[in-house]
Amino acid sequence: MGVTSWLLRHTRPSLLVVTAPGGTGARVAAERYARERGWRLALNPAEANMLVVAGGGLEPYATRVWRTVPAPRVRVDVAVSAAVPGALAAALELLHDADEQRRQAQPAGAPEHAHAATSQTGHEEHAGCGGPSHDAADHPHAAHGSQPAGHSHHGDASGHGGHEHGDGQPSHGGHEQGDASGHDGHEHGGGQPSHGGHDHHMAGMASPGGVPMADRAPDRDGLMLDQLHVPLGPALPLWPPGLIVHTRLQGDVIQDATVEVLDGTHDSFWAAHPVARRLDASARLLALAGWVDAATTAQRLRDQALDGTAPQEPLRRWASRVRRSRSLRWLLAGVGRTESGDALDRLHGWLDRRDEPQWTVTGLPDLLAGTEFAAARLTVASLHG
Amino acid sequence: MARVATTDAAVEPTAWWSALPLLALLCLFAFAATAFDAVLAARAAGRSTRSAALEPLRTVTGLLVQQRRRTLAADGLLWRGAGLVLLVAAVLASGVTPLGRWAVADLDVGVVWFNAMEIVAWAAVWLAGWGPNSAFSLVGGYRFVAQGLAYELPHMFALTTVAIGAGSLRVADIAGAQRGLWFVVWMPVAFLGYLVSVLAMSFSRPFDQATGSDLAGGAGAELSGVDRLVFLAGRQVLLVSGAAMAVPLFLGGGAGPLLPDWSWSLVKTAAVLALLVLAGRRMPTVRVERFMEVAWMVLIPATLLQALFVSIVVS
Repeated sequence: MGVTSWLLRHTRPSLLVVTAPGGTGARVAAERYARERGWRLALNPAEANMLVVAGGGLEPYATRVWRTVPAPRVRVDVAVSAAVPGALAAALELLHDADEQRRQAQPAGAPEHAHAATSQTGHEEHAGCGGPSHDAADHPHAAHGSQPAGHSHHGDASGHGGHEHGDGQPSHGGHEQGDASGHDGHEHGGGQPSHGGHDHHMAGMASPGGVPMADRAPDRDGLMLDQLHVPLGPALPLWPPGLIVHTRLQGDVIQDATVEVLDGTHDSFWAAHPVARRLDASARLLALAGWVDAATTAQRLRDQALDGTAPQEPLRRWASRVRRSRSLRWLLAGVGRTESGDALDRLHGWLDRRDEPQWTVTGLPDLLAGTEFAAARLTVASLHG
Repeated sequence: MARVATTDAAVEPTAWWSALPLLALLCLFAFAATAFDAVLAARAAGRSTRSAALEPLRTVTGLLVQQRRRTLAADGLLWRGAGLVLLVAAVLASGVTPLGRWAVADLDVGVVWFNAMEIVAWAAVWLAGWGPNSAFSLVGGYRFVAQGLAYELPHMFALTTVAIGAGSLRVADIAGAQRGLWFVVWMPVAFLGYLVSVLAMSFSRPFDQATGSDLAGGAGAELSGVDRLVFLAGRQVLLVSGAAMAVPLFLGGGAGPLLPDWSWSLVKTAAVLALLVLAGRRMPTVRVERFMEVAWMVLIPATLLQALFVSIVVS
């Protein structure tokens, strides 16, 4: 145990930040805290050891993602940016606490996971006082509460997991695999990569692990190919808060997409900070484009702009570096083209401090249909100023 | 530019146990590359770069205590085996790379062996993407297969070019054939094609679309704990193996003034590796659908012409 405790104490925090509508302030604060301390920002639950839920109202998605985070792990629910430093400092203590992490690694049916009626308001209160709510929400019944009844198809020995169908949408079925450690469910709703294709009418079909096989449909060249139903968002990093795009995916190509928007508080966080808003949008687009350094610099400048100490010279240098990049131009040109231009034009608009018209989701399905997956992600990021 | 195939090979095979120092050396270089990358990242983030070099170590400790993730209806053997296959292939590829005068194996078809091991990596990444039964992983696997179609031919033409230049497939002969003039000088296009393809085959930045941020980590999206550690180590060792092989193929092997030849091999490998890491941070991820066009319209014809030029010169 000595070695494990030692390794645990030296574990580098890796944050998976998911954002609810209204949680932008907390998300930005968490990103800043991580950047200043050299903590990693995780892209998926598997590489994360801290789940940061920024803002409230992301259930049941946040809990589904939480169940797929392997121990050692800490969950942090923060509603407001002011609570972030305290919450993350407390989370670090828990992450490095061997006793706590032994509990996290215990079987899902263990006594401390007894039925806890965790309401979302309860979460926010908890977050408000700065404490990470590490396992209060780690209970399948909390998620079940907000889901249509009768969609649990097969439970398992531990009573954990089962076959959950998000909000009743065909492509939304969260397939939980309960197991000894209770953390490795196979999720759909929370931006969790996984096999889709679980239409209700197929749910009874005998197939591996109780999951139906993928559908088939003709692709854009008329070939019969497997198709997967993959929902994107809302608990997905580098993704607009509250957006869910249900996609039908064939290989790397999105055949069609439908859009759903979660209800939530209107986010007025950026209203007073137009410069920071454009920098944040640029950072997300650059991160998705895979230019990590330019994205990190944009985040740093964003945080300085929020402090009101944005230095003009570094800002100008960064903008001209991004604008000059020939590879970026080559890679973004033609992506997500609308009447007003493509992703590159929109990025340049942010660099030039032009204000683009507010985006709407109505045109998104048409824009995404038939595009490569990567281009779709870039399109969404470029539209979401 | 007349050239004689060297029969007095400058490289001797060493005892079997020399595979152990090779393994240590590869791990050391892989860690150094990761640490260098972390330092560059810290600089961009506006943090102290001094502590950043040790951040990868703290990531490793985290992976050692992390639970291994399971997914529903996964193909566990292929999925978890993929990382190990990647790592083993990457190490075996370096078995024929000489360190100064020594190589673990001095095969007379060394270049072919090296290429064969790299192609194993192609399968390994696909399996890592396919194994966990997860859509994002699967798409990552698809992307890497497509990427292979883009980089593999330029890579093989680059290898062919140096083999033609030396008149041998033995790595020692190729290094020895550069006593007068390094191949990088009169085969610059092959060298460039080689470096690009090394980045692409080790799915390192900027050719990291198979594990891209848009796919939440792609082929590696479901890997945690030791599985993740082995997979990431395999990728870094593959990058190191590619960088190290550039030295005998293009940069004169261990040739250099003053220092002993083994140290020149190390210095040159470190330089190539640093160049690759730096290049990767300077641009966005190159998406396969755009890279494919460049690979087939520019890289393949250019490396073919280079091979033709070298063939005419040596004949």
